[in-house]
Amino acid sequence: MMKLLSFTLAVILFLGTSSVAGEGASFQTSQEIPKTATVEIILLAAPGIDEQGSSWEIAYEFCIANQAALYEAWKQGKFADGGQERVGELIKESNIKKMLLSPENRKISFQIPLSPEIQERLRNEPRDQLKMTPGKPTSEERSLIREREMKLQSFLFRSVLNVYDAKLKQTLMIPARFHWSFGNYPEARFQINVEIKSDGKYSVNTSLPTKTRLN
Amino acid sequence: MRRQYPALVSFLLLTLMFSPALSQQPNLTSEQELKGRRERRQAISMVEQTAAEAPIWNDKRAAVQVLTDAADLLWNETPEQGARWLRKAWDLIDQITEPARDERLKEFFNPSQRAELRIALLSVARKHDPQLAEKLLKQLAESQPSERKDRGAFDERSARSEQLLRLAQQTVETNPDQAFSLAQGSLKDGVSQGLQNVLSTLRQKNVELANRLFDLALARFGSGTADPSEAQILAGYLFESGITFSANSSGTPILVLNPDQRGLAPVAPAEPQRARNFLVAVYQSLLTQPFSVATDEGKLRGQKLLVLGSRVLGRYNTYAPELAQPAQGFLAQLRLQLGVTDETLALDGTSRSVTKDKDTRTKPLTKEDLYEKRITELENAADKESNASFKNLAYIRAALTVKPEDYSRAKRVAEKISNDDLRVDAVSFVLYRAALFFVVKEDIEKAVEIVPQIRDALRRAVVKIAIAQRLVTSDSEKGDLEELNLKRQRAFDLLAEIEGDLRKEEPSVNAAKIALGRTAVLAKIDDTQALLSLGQAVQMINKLDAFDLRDRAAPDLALRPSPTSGATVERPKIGFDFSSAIEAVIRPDFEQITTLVEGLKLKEVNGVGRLEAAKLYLRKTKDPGSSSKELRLSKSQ
Repeated sequence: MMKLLSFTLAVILFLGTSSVAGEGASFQTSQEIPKTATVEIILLAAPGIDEQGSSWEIAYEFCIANQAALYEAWKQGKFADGGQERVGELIKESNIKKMLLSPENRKISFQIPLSPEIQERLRNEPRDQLKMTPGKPTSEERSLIREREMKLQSFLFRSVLNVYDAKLKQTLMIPARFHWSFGNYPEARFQINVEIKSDGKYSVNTSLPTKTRLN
Repeated sequence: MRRQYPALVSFLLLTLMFSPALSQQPNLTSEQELKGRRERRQAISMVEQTAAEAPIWNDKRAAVQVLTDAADLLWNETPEQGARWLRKAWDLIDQITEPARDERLKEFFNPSQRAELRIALLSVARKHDPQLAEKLLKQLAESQPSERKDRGAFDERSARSEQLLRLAQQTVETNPDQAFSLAQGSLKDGVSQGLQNVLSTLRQKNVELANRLFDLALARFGSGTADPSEAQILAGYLFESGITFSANSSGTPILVLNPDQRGLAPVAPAEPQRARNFLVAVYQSLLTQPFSVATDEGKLRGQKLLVLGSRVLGRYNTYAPELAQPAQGFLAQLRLQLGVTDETLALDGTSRSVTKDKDTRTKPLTKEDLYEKRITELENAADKESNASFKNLAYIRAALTVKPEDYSRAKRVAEKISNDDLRVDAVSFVLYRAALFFVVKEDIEKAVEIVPQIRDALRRAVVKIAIAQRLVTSDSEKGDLEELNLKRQRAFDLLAEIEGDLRKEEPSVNAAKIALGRTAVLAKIDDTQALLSLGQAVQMINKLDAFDLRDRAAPDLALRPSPTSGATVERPKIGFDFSSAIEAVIRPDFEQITTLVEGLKLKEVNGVGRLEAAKLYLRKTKDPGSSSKELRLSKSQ
């Protein structure tokens, strides 16, 4: 008999954020809107991390999108099967290359300025819960929901890390894509940890939400 | 008379030829018997010796496996020693460090090496000494908290319930009563995820037992502080077998699918009273209980309740109509409290406004049209990417979305990749995937045609092994002798080519696995060549820092930038482990194999190799009653 764990297929449903903030208070009342976003990528381990010749190169794009656009992208399958298409409006794109021998080069930090227009969008993100009557939403409530979805903002980071490992004698191409909702990361600070094992397999994780948005 | 003469001559000649052979037969038989006894004694001694060494190994996982196997193999002869080995193994399990939790899976479930080893050990204990198994289970329940605190949404509720349900799942096909009793025992810690699987399988064997177990589970659910995830397990069994929903820590609905249980007829229509009892229990235990959503814990419970509600609400109309309205009211209220709209929780997508094709004159797209459209879209999107790295990734995605058999197209897309190494790797992968697809479809000629185009030696080797295996196994199916010989020769030639390829490769786990896989197929054709191949595998394993001789899985030759690409490959249905490699030759060539195994340098690998060889030999030459004699002989010597 097949064992349950061996044959279960885990599926995560992208159904938008779990709670919907309301129309009332917006963000600036209790918290300062960040003027820059910070993304820090740390290479924790790689077989040839201490070898002369090992290097890494990162190509990235940092975008912003509202929840309605995210949902639309999800419906179009842009996040499925390792999808790498750009979603949202581009804030910054760049390429960086560093040698790995020096320990300080194993951390790459990007400071991404957020324009006044983007700061305004973040400031206008609703933070209160929506008041709704029980039962099926009315047409008015539906338009409120739509309006709210247009105001909830998320940062999208898509990147490709090309790590040349001198011990493995090969270049590993590691795609890393994350979307961070502003509500969960109100300081706009994000961290990504990359770990490459001796057989060339890798893991990429991001920092946990700071969750300080809601009242 | 003329005709009878040659016949008479033939008879005399045959008699003369065979009479010495006939007279020697008793000697040959006794020689074979002696050899067999000597080998059995040697195998038993190897098991004992390895079990004695195992506790001091650094690799505690291997030690536990060896002790468990040794106890199982020699229990009938020395039950006290078997029990001692099992207790020792049980103690060693606590010394095993669990691998780091998989960040991507931890919210779903957290597989545990310790749990896997305990299940194997308890399975042996239950087979030989049920009292010992009970004792060990009790010990486990006492030493560990009754409920896991950091479990994923689909982990079992406790270590004890996990062991019991996994054992129940193992025995349900052969012994439904025992499975019932084991699963019943798991209810002490609540309703666990594995219960749905046991219930569904048990129902196929014995409906009455499944009903009794369900009733007990429902009683357990209603008797304590009910958890929405427990209700989800029972809801899956009743309404949609093989699916369980929950919510992750941020409240997003998640689900697990068990393909093995999908497609089973829903239980509820056949058991309407049980479905009703369940819905009433959910209403009473969950939907009428006030709780606060002010805390994170409360919010998560609320989210889980909403996910459950969206799943069972429609069922109230059928099985408990008088509760449909109040249940709906409670859930609407909860939505309000959590600030969640119908839209964000629509699991089936029906509440979301679905854009439908309003022009009814437009011909609906066929599956094939959709496939074509998808590939074209992905390729166009890749063409439009400006950054080279993103562009290459996008081509990989498009190439992997192409069907395996449409490999020319996949290759054409992959050839657009600008990075030389990546392009070669991607083309090699799509060809490898196609060749294995054709092997499974028994289109051997097509697979053979593709093989030389695969640049990566390891992928090429796996395809050759798969083809050779197919040629060898089709031996017994049909065809005349000449055709069969031709097939065997082709298989042999393919396997011989792999040897040259492997020599050029750097030592790696994948290369060692391929060497074992090659041996497994060669062993079906030629013993001598198989032993030579095994020798090469041993040499390769000796160059590695560690190697798991028991790992049957096919080599992981996925395309690196797309770790899930490996899942799209039809892997050969042979074991790439040590046991599979020696299975066909263990009986005639036991001594040579033990000599080769002695050549394994790493202590643990050597020990596992000895035990696997001895285990296979003892199982292949199983002779009830003889083992005790062999053991006594072995001991007296």
